[in-house]
Amino acid sequence: MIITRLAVEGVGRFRSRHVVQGLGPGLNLLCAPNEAGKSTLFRALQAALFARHGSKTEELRRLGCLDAEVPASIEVGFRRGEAEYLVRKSFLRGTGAKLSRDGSVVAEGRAADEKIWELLDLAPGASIAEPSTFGLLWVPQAKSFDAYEPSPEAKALLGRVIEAEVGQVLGGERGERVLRSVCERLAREATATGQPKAGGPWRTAIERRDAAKAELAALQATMATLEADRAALAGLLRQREALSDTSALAAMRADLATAAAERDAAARADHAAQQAETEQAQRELTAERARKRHEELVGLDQRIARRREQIAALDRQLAEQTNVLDAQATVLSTKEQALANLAAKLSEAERAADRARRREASARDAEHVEELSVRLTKARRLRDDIARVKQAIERTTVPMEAVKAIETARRALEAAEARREAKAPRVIVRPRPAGAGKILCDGAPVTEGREVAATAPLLITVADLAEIEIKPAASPDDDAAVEIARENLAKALRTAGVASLAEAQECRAKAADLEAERRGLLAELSATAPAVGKEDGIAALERQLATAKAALDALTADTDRAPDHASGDTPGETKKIALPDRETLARERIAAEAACDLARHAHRTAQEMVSTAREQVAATRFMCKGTEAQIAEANRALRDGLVLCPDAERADRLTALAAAAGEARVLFEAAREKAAALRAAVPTAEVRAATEARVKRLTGAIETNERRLGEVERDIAALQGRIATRGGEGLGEREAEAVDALALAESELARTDRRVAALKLLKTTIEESRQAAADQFLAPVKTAMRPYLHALFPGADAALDPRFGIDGISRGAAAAIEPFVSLSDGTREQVAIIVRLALGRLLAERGNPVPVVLDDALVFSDDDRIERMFDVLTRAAEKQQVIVLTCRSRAFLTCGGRPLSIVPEDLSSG
Amino acid sequence: MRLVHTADWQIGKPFLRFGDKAEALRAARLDAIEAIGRLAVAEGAGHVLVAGDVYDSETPSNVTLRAPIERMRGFPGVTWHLLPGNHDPHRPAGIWERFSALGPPANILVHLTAEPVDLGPEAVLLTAPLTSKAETRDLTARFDDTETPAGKIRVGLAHGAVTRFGVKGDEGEAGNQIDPTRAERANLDYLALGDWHRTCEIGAKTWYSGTPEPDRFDSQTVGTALLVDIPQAGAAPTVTPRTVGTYRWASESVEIGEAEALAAHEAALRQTHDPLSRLVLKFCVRGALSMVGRQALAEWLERLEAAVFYLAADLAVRVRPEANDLEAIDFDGVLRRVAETLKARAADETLTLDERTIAEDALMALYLEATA
Repeated sequence: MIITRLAVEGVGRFRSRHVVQGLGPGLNLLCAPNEAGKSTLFRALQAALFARHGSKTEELRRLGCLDAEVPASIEVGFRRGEAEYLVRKSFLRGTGAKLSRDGSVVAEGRAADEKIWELLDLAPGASIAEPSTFGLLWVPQAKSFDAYEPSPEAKALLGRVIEAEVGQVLGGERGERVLRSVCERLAREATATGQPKAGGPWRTAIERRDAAKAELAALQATMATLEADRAALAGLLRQREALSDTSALAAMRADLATAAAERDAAARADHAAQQAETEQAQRELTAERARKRHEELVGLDQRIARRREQIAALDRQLAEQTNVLDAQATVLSTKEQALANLAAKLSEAERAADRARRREASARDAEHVEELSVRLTKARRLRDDIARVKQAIERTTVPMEAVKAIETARRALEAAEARREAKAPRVIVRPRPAGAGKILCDGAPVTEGREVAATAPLLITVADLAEIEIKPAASPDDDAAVEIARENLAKALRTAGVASLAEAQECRAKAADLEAERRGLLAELSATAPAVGKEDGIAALERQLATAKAALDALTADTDRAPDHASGDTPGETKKIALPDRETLARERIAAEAACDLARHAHRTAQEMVSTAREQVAATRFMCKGTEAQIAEANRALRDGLVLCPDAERADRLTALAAAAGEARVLFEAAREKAAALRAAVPTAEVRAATEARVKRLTGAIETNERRLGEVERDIAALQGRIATRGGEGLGEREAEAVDALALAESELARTDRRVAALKLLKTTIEESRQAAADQFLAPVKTAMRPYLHALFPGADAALDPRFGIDGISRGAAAAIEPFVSLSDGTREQVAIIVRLALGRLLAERGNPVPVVLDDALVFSDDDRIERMFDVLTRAAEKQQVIVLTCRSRAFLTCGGRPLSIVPEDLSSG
Repeated sequence: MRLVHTADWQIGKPFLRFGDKAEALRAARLDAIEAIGRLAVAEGAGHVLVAGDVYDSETPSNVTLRAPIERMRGFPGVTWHLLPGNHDPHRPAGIWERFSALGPPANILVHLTAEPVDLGPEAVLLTAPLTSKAETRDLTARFDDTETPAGKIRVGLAHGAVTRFGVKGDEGEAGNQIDPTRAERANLDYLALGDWHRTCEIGAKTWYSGTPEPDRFDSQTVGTALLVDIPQAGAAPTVTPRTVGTYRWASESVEIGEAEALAAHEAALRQTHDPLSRLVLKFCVRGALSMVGRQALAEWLERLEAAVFYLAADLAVRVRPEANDLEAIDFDGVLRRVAETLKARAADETLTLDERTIAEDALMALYLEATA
């Protein structure tokens, strides 16, 4: 198809009839500025070919001229095959359609609409036909760089064209349906990653199998426990049988009786031996006691003799110690007398030093009293001055409020007088030279010209010539106002106690000066008598002076009471003492303190000597007392011994005790021999221990047997109970059911596994086959596109999907595919146009040429790329008609091709 | 002397593999007890000898334990002699102590020891109860030395595998070997055996009764009990198998090459196992079919499943796509290529059998989807 004519009238900006001049095969280029109507022509072309002439769509309404009374008329001529066709359609008003072929009308009205669609292989619609490949190849403004999406009809047409060449490869709708169904079935079973899907039959079968397996394992574990219980029960039953063997038990009891008899006989022999040994011990004790009594008496006799010798020696020692003590006492008395003398001297020296210190302190305190007295006098004077100034201030000052009241009253008076004066007649007196000094105004001579407001009667005397009295008109209100203002002023002055405002202000200035003086006096007073806390400064000074005087008086009194200053004055009376100067007093004090130190040293030495002598006397006295105590103790011991056994009885008693000791010893020896004989008859400890062990062993064995039998009986009962309980639970039956359930679940899972595997295989095989088919299917498109693509991107290849959508491009054999959406705007536009051109070329080469119309395309291309795109367009135009509408006249200067222009038809025909 | 010999009731067997038919199969085993009782009453047999495995498990539930008691209670004129088998051996605190604790009626005797028991005035019963699941000794050996009053019929009752069967492998379920010549060695007039689920004559005086209600394929077609007549001591018994079961259990195996042959198989099944509604059928199909034929087989099996009581189909049918099968998928295009790919994969001998089977399944799924 080649468009050969396009004329419009009443369309968009074309009210009158306009025609596109120059249309023909190959590359057609319409360069016109914005608002020239290029896009309007594009839409008019679409309307003429695809729209029913009677439709009233919004798109068609926008096509008409604003406020136009004429219909929108479009005329399109095209060549298809060898025939020339002309379409005339009128829209909106006076609608109509007519199709002519080679100059003859072949259809009109609705038939013409549909005949056009039939010619162009378009699917009919209610108001507009599906534009099919025209929709793909006719690119409206601002759409050239979008990823195109062919309509189903366009895809079907492209598919038909290609499949005519490569055969039916995609499987069509049936293939889609099968794949969809397989995917749906698989989706019910598995996730996208091929794992069992939650809630799906596959996962359910797995879960059922796992649950059955777990149930069986649990039951088998319980069964194993039960079986273990059965084994344990069998073992216990065997144990019970063995433990209940009566013959073995009887033999054990007989052995026990024999061993017990042997043990008892040995115990009895041991008891008899123990009794004999007890008697032996008693005899031995009796003999030992007799021996001890004899020995004790012998010892007493010897101790009495030793005590008597000791007492004699101690008496001699005491006499010697007494003599030494007497000599030491005499020495001590002498030294104590010397110490008393030294103590008296020390006391005297200390008193002299104390007096010297007091005299020095009295002199210092007297100076302090003097200084305080001076400050107090000055402070009192300052206080009196301050009081005086304060009284003067109080007398002089006028309150600020009073001054302000005076000022207010005065201003009110002035205002009232001004008002009255303003209303008063103005009297102007201008004396002439001859009248100088002859004119009086209210008695005052007027020498120069004068203007007076006559607020009151005014008398002007002109020498003797005349008296002129000027009486102002009565103005009672103003007079009253002046009078009231005047009274207010007088009242304010009275209140302030002054005669005038100037006096009041002068009083305030004077008061301010007095106040400054008072503050100076206060500062001086504060420096002379500073306040102490809350206490007034003068009071504090007075207190300090009184305290200092009291201290001086006390010191003076003490000094006066000193022996070397004693006088006849009454105690407590302050007396002025004539003291030497401070240095003399200090020297006296130092001399007195040195004499005191010497006396104190001598006294300390004497004290030490007395102490030593006293210690010697005490030591000797202590020794004497110790000797006396020893003598007393020896005498007491001697007395005790004689009390126990007097000298007269001692010899007889010694003889009797020796005989008793010999007799007790004989009895002990007899008892010892008897005990030894009985002990020899007792079995040895080893024999007795072995017998005891046998008894113990047999007793334990019998008890253990009985206890074990009881335990076994209890264990048997417990196991029987547990087994019976387990048996009642139907474990075996449940296990058999679980085995069956597991087998059933495994069988179901195996079937499901097989089904899923088959579906997965089928899906994979279909997808792989479709991919291979798609590659084959798209090969012609890629072949058609390759020359164009390489013109811009040498070595590049485009990735297409079977629906003719573009996924991206790779810029070399090994280069990765760059997704279409990530390309720059310019590249996207160029690639999109190239794909469209390629599809157009594909159709053209297969006998179905469709013009390519690009409205304002290549807006994003740089200079280099746009040149190469012109080459592409030129090359594409060799196979099909390409119509380019653009406003970029300069950029498209080198595009070449057939230039188009929009001209009024009268000019075109001309 | 007339008695009924039965064994291997295995009450409590779950049959869960049979899905919703399990309950009916469980009930049929209890119904068989009543059928045996009716047989004994009808034939005037005063004793029913149950040669072991009364229960399927030695720890059944209480209801399962009581169920056969209640069935036997309905035949007070018949004395039921129960013997522990390898499924329900007598062990301390075991099933038979629980059984006795339930207080069964007097006409039910459980033989837990080897003590001889009188079967009326003319016969003595010698028993060999199992006390474990797998007994290594031949417990019937003691029959040889067991004295009975002269002139009395000696009847043995035992559960286990006759020795020669055990040698072969798995015909007897476990050890518990029994000398097949025991009847002659112990001078028995009849030895009633249990364990093998198929009626079998070991010798003139030694029989396995089989189970009264089958529970597996490839064993016993229908439940049977034996009616035994022993004229007198030393005389040969007369043994008559009698049907007491409800369902027929059959295994059929066919080799198939075309779907049209299925009609003939169906006719044979209806003739052999009438009525089909009582047939528990294991149907094994081998061979190869076209995809059309495979689809027809699936439909035929569906119909057969509806006709029989239970159908366990075991299919080992290879799919052999024919030209019209592939054309039915598509003449050209993706689907046709997918079909060709899967067909080649199914025929690829380098792949495992499982992989080829999966390819056949996928191809069949494609066929069903494409022709739906």
